[in-house]
Amino acid sequence: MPETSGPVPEREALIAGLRREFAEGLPERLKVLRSALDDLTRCYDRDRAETFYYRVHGLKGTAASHAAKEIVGPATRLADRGYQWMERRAAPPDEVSAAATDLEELGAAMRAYRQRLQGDLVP
Amino acid sequence: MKEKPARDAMMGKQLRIVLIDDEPDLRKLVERTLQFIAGWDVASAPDGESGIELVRSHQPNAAIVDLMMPGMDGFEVARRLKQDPSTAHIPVVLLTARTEIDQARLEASGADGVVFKPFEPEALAAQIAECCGEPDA
Repeated sequence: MPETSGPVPEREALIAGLRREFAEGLPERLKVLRSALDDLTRCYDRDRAETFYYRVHGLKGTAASHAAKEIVGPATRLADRGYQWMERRAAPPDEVSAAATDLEELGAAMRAYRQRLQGDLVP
Repeated sequence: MKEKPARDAMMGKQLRIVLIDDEPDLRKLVERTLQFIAGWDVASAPDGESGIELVRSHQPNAAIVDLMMPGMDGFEVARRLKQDPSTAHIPVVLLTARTEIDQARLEASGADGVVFKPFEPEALAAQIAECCGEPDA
């Protein structure tokens, strides 16, 4: 563990508070992703694909930085898919359907992370 | 290890940092942890356009810029900062959650360093210290 300038318990309390705030915002993030994916199910639009990609890509990086390892896997799969849709300017129905399954897994992972935080705020 | 001397060199300094990232939780994490571990003054912006304006007006010691942002990406933000005489001297560190980075675009952007997510705040502080050319960094 590297040294820090501040006392370790204070640092851990700071990180724990930030993780709690991140966890509290997860249901809203899921709602936004579901809405973006629903839009893509109806018809492809580059702006919608960008919205989906950047939202889930951002979630992936932030989740990793908050040690939310449950979330990183499904978020990475969804981000990779979103990136392809953005680049190819198309979201094939079978891929959108597979993404919907990944999104359900992401929701379960978010719930698991929130539960883990309640038991142990600093892994 | 270079981290400790770099951090030690930074602790007594009141550095100003500008963070440009579209992720609100990531901004909070970087702002608050850098303020806590190094005592730096961190201002932030959610996108490239407003971030460039913030760098121009704030004249920070370094800018931390997320690579993948909607609209203007981090490469373009770095390129514009390095082309502007009023900000060209400011070190730019790119932040990315991607596992690979386009080396040609990185070089063309003029960015001074890259930090991959996830990162430890201490490692980020050390890298910024290095980019700022601190002694022993």
